Amino acid sequence: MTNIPTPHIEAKSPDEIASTVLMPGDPLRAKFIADTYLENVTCFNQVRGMLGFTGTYHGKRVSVMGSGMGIPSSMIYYHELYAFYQVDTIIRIGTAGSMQEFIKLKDIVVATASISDSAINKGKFGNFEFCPTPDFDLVLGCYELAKKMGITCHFGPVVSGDQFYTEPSDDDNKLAKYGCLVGEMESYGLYTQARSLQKRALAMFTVSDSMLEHSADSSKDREQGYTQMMELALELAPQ
Amino acid sequence: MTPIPTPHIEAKSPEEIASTVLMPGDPLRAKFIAEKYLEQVTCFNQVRGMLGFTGYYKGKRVSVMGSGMGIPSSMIYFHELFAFYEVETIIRIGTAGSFKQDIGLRDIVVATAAVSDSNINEGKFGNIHYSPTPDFELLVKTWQLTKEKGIKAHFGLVSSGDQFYNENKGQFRDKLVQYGVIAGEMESYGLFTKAHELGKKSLAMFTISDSRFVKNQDSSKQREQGYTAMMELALEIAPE
Repeated sequence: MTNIPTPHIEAKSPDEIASTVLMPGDPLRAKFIADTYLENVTCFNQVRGMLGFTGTYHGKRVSVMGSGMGIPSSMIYYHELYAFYQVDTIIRIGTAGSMQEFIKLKDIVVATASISDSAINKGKFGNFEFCPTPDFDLVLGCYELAKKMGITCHFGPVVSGDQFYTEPSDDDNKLAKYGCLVGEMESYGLYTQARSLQKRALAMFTVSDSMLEHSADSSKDREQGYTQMMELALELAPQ
Repeated sequence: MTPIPTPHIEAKSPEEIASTVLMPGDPLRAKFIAEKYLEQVTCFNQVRGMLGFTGYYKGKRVSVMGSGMGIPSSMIYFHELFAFYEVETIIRIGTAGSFKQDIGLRDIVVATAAVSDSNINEGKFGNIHYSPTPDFELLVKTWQLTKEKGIKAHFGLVSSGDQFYNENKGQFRDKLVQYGVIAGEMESYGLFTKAHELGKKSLAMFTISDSRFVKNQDSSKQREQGYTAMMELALEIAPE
């Protein structure tokens, strides 16, 4: 076991981080959430600018931290938080691109499973293909809570791609036909890491662009525009 | 062509960015380099905290920007800089773990090619396995400069891994070492691939920040600020 602080997180004790961490890809979105929603905020990480904060939301202790983009970057943080800082639950709160006509900009999507072109699980289970999934209690909790809060959520499988800019292929059409709702870049790694360490995970996204309409929000919108999802995740976060 | 600014870089014009960009993984290392070495510095990106700066090193215009960690994150920036901001050369200046006893902490490694467990090139060339390599002229120029300046640098293959924490870590490392791989890091396989795809130039060099042969590893602060020899080498090499 690596001693803390780790190579990527400078918190000196697991006590600095809550048992649930909300994780956007963008560290500035983590800062926005801490500034907007949390009280008694402390900053537990600035290494590589990957800001992490702990505070209270309506009296409940919760942390929020950036993960960076892509499976390799985000898995470093998932692993260090779960394995070295005794974190029990990570809820990814990201942005995603719609792969379906009925999923529009600003809609919220919750990943019930994740599919990827990443090779992180290749050969790990012999001839078996592992299917990374979230904690089912968290999925159900999210479903009930969204109904209670009057928030419309789409539940379904998502695609975690390794390449934001790819050469043209027919892959997206086939994945959409097989029910994939949106594309993003991290949840396949999160769900795999949580299972491997017997921890809990959930990933939800606000749709920031559409692969069908070639429309997109600006980077500033991405940073601040997704208050509904943030509030849903903050309410859901187990203490 | 996506209009600029892109989803990840807020610079409004290619003119804000020099034709050569030095790229550490850590955006705070980019900031450190800009503050320590560059004059007339302007900041061209703060989106996601992925700081980017342009300035002058001994009168030569150069930019420096973080790439984030891993192939997926860094390739977003490599692509946007090459394809949308008219950048010609990217030199990665990263940290790496030594695979060999005779390559110690703080040594400099220059990648002559990159191997990877990443799937980004799978099927792209049918049955052919692509071998990502740096620009050969830049590589030779680096070798000449290290000789001239008496800088000790190891030239060889590096492995760009998708997983920093890997259940199977070490399972294939001995074989990789046998076949000439001298260090492990997480981005250059993506950089070399992207540069060739778009007809651009790239190079990757590293300072060894950890090694399985020594007990101590460098702290995150040392990783941010400790690697001045490599920074100076890259700044000297950077084509205008």
